[in-house]
Amino acid sequence: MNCDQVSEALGAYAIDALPPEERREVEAHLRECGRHEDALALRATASLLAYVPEDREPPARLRSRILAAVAEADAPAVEESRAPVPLAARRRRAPAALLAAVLALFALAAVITGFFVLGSDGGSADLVRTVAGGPAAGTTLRYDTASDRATLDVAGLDALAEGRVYQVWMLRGEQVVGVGLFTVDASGRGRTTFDAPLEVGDTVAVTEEPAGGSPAPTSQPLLAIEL
Amino acid sequence: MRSTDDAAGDILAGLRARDPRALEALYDQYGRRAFGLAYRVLGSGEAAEDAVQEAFIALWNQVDRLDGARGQVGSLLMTIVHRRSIDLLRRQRGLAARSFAPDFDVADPAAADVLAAVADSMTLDAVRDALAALPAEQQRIIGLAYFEGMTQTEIAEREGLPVGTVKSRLRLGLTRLRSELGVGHSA
Repeated sequence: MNCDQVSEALGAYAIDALPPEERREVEAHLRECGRHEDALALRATASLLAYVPEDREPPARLRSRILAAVAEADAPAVEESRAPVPLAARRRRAPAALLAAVLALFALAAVITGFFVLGSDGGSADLVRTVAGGPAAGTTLRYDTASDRATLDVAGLDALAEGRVYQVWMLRGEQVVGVGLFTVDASGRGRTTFDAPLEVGDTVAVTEEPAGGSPAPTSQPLLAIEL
Repeated sequence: MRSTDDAAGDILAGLRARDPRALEALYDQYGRRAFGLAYRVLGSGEAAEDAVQEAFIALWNQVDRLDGARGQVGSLLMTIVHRRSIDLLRRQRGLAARSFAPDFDVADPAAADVLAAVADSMTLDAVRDALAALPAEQQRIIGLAYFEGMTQTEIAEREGLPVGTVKSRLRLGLTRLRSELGVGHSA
């Protein structure tokens, strides 16, 4: 995208109406180009729209529901665990064969042990896995069962070359589903949030892929976290 | 007399200490506003309750990400309420999840400052008035994007417009809102 195209897309960017690939192109351009200082102000403006609807009195039960859910969900559910799957620098371009290799690797992995906390009503639960050793030590996956939403806080990954991105995969049996893309900062840290109905036994893995992501993994996993 | 900054600081300190009373205080301060937003997006009290509950729990679980900048707790909460509401709405409609940029108000302290400066100096009526003052076609498209969680492509299809026109209207509308509200000019 050139400067003019980015300028034209800034409104849609600010209000989160861009498709993912175009959003990433805009973000990449904004990191490089200093001529769009209004981008931040437009995003701040869009976020003010949250204050447009009239206040509304919620049912009285909501307050107690929230406090009860917090009381149940609140546990520092992080347990030390062993190192993740070793890193493999080798990159291949044979999706089908590679996929099998990736799956085999995961089958061997059994890398992470964790801690599972379930609320007594089975409703609100958090599942947290933290990588304790290896290059990606400190990487944490949090999963909120109430919303099927997971957050992966990654540490220790290499900075990406131009046109590359990290892709998150959910693996269940032979099923492999791409669930999100992210980049890391200079210190190798990054965060991504994705919606996925995770279950114990699933694996969440990260590979490096071309910008925009791939339909199936094209490189070996840099980390794998088994739930 | 205590300023709202002090109160916000107390809430943040309490949240960090995992003190449920801080969450109660946050709920008492923002519950009606959060519920109003979720209800506006979802159009149903039950779904709005779910979205607000999820947002408070998400905030509780992310409190270590807050660095204490002014206005941050409230604006982060409202951002999460909005996203959860859109997520729920799109799931109800069988649509793919929306792709959101990273939480800018926590990822970028400068943005949080901009926002806090604006929120401090402005009444909520100012936001409503500024939106209402936009040309109808810009208002409509901003509403579809923000309150209905539609992408530019979905808006273009629904409105029978080229995507480029949708983009332009979003840009023009937000730029005018920004200028009406003085976002980024005083920071």
